[in-house]
Amino acid sequence: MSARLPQPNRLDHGGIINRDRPVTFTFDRRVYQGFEGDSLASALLANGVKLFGRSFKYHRPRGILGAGPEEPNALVEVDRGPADRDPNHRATMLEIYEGLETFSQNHIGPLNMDLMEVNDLFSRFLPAGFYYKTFFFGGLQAWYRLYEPIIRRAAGLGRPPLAADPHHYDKIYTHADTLVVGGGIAGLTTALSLAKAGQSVVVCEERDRMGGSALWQGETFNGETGAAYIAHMCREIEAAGGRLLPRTTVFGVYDAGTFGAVERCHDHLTKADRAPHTARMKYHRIQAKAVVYATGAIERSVGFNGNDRPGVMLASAGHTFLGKYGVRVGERVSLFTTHDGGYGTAAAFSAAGAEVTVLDARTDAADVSIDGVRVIKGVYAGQAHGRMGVRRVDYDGASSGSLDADALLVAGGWNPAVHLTSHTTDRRQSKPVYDAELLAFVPPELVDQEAAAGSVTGAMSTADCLATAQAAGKKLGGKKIELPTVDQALPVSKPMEMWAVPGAGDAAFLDMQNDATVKDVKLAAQEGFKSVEHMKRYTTLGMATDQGKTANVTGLALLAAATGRDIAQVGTTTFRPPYTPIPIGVLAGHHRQRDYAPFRYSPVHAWAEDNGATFMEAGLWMRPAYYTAPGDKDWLDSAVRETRATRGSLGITDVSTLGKIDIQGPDAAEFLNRLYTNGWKTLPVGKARYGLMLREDGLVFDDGTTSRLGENHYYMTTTTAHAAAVMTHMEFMHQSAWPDLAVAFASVTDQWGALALAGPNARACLAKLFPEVDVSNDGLPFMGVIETQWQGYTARLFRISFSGELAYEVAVPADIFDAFWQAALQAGAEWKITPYGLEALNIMRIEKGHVTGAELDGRVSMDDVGLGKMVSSKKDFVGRAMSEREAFSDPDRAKMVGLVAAKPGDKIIGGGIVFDSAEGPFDYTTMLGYVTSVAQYSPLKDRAIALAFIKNAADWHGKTLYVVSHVHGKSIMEVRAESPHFYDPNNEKVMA
Amino acid sequence: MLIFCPHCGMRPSEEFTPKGLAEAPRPALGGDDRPEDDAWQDYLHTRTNKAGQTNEYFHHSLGCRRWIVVHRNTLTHEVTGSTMASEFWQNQQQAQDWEAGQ
Ligand SMILES: [Zn+2]
Repeated sequence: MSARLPQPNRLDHGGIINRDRPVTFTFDRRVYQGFEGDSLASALLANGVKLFGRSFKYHRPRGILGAGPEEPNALVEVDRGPADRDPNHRATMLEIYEGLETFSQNHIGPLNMDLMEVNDLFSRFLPAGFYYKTFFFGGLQAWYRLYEPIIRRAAGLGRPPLAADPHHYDKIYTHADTLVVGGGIAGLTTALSLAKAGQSVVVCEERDRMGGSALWQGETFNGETGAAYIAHMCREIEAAGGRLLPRTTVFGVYDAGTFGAVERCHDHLTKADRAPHTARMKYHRIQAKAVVYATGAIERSVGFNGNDRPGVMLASAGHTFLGKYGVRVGERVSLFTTHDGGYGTAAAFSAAGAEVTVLDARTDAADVSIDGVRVIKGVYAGQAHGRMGVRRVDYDGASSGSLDADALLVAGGWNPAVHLTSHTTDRRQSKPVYDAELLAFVPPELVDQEAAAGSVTGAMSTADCLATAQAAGKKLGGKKIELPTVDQALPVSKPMEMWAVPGAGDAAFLDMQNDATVKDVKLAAQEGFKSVEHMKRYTTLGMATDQGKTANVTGLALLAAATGRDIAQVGTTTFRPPYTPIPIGVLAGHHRQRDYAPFRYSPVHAWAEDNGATFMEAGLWMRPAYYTAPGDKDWLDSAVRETRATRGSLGITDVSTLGKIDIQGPDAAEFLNRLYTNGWKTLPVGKARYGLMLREDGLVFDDGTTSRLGENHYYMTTTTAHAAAVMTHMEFMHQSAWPDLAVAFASVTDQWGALALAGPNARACLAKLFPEVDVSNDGLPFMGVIETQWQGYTARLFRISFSGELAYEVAVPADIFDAFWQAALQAGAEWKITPYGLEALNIMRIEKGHVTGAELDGRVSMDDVGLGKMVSSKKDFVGRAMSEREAFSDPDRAKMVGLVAAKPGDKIIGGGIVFDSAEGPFDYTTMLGYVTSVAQYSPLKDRAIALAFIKNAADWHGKTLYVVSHVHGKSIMEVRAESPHFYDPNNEKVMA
Repeated sequence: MLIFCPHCGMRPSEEFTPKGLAEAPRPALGGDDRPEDDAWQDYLHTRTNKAGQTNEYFHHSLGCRRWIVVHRNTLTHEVTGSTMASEFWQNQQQAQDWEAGQ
């Protein structure tokens, strides 16, 4: 064990820390020691550290305000190397461990002499609305040159990590009958009641252990200490099958009993203690039939000048550091209170040896006598002095004076933590309701599947909290349990209404993180921002990472006062998930980088990898783009070699990725008739037909061939890109519009592997593979289909062509596709069979003028792509009515055309805009159309060719046009327009 | 959020793909419909976007792949049930016929 270092503010007893386990850590490179169970805040306070950071806007020195998740000031960075640098941890929630290295944020130079503090001196020039107003002052140029660089430098909290997050994150579905949010004594009591009734219960507690303030407040339960009572309640819950999740924040409530929660599994452990390959955090997507909000309450401060000084903190925070961690935050303590609750804290500090003066805002407060505590009634804290830590407190009111103090605790009343109850509008209103008696917002009326327990309901004493827990249990079908007798109960009372003291101005802070002050709210009201939502945006109050947990209610109370309205009339802003900040990585889980989405591989993927393929993504599929052979200079060289080999003799390509849909049933033909523009009733068995599908709005959706395999059996292919969408479309039309059609269909894309043989020797190769089958032009004519066998397996032979060559597609079951592919390579060897990829396919289909997704981009009509004749006028089909829209027959519509580069070596750039003059102007007033697909080299034309859409396309055939790419410095490319069917326009080759 | 699929039961919303409001059936197969016909305009374009009880198409795309119509109140988010899309318009028609007969 390392040597013990002194901790000057640590009492020698008290707290629920483990004093046998000292923990050494650093803050801004200085070494400190605390104990196991400490938060960074409590450990640093034990060491006398008061200054934790700088505020966002004015860079004012800031200390600790709270002791929990509400903390606005003490944001620190945990540094475990450049990839693992984690900013904006709240020091109050960060558990220390051996070797933890932390840094303060938001300052230039040392923390105690931040160069940006000059902002504070100019604070009168940075009032609310500063950012909006600068736009009007000096104009945009002033913004760019003067203001923005300064603000950029000053803005931002902490430094982001510089490399990919090295951690694992898990996602889990967690189910429960009832979710209990908050493991304080109320939440646990309700959970026990429900668990005993046989419900499955999950309790999520944000802190490191169950129990909340009952653990350390000093109250006893049936004579037991709080810690002992909580411990046996936890055992009982677990014995009844309940699940307790500490370090788990429920950050959001969603419809129908869905909750988001993040469990922190690693952040409190040394690296050595983190089990390898386990998750740093787990995202629980909790599905629960019912929920108990036992989220507690957050204390609020009061607006007075200097209330942000280091050493000014919430009374509950001071009490927590004392009771939970044995840390006394001051020796001479001033305690400014508006209610009886302050006296419990005063008594605890006095008992711990501090000299305490209570400034009670109420003149009519009951007399309370506590040993060693001086009480001044009817006064308020008017000003706290001490830039780096409180030294003196001026009070005013019924009497005035000045107190020496090294800590100023503020008890301004409690705000129930209603945030989660307002996340959802599921079956009820979301807005919290203002209770003018309690001077606080409480949850709205909850539905049957919800209950609230503890101080979130507005209950103040522990006994009242327990009663609400009992009631919550009863509401949700729990078993009645004996409530404990609470002794040594802390005093409570409703607060006196005091949101800001008289004279509070631009140094009286409400939102400490965003530096919004009492004066800012008044200014907002003065300038007409009377809606709470407008005030929030104008002052930025509540818009920091803490979402104004300690600021919002006070801010809107002041807005109400400034505009002469009731607080209930003003209402609250909307609380949104997440309750506290969560790392984005935990929402992504394992869905990142390579695992973001699955990959789909063809059955011959491994063969392609071994044979020089370079792949490209097509949806989820990995498809060979080209195969690099010895001597190929680049991808285009490979693609052109593959094209020449195919056109000259024989090529083979893998078309397994095309969508394949098996359609069966007596109404199958009728179904196809309604899906496609062309007719299907006359297609005989053993024939394929090219089909075009429209969307219901009349634009082209997809194309492909469908073959009739049997009387009531069809086999449809779709483009790779639209396979899923076509399937979904067919399901929608069948189910929503024509459920009476007797047809069934299933995607069989993964069940069949398919290859295409193309080129003049394709038939000879196919005959060799299927010696029993007559594949002659008579036996298997163009668009013919034969179902046969290959080595005992079904094989389907289709005489279809996408390349413009004599070509066949052969489909066999995916399991044997690799073997069949090898057999085809062997059979084709004598014709130097050449595998070709998507790039060669692209060259060939552009030469042939076939369209793909680049052309069918959801904006083109049948006529635009030259397929207007493919309409059967005798029937109805999807998109028919809308395809007759007038605009579709506008002669000005851009239609497909072929473009050829003026000379070899010239490029055509995809996406370029087409004009009829090289002179310009090159804008929308003169543009004729745009380029959709480019073959950078067409062996047929010995230069680049392209497909494009231009107005009056046919009129331009044979004429010179210009393609201009605005994203390539307006380079101008001269081209000649012609028919898009460059290659074999009369289909002599495919029919041969 | 959970969505009830009449075929699979309560399932997480991530399994479903929404399509939009189911406010008008596809016009019956005819032959000489025109794009400007009200039935086509209603089917394709007119969405009332009302606050209150609505019917929305969802596809159980990562489940049974049935299209369903979810009955949801946009004011309260309450989901009161779902109907198979294949039965939805027939049911609507029956309800209308029944009302007309009253
Ligand atoms: Zn389903």
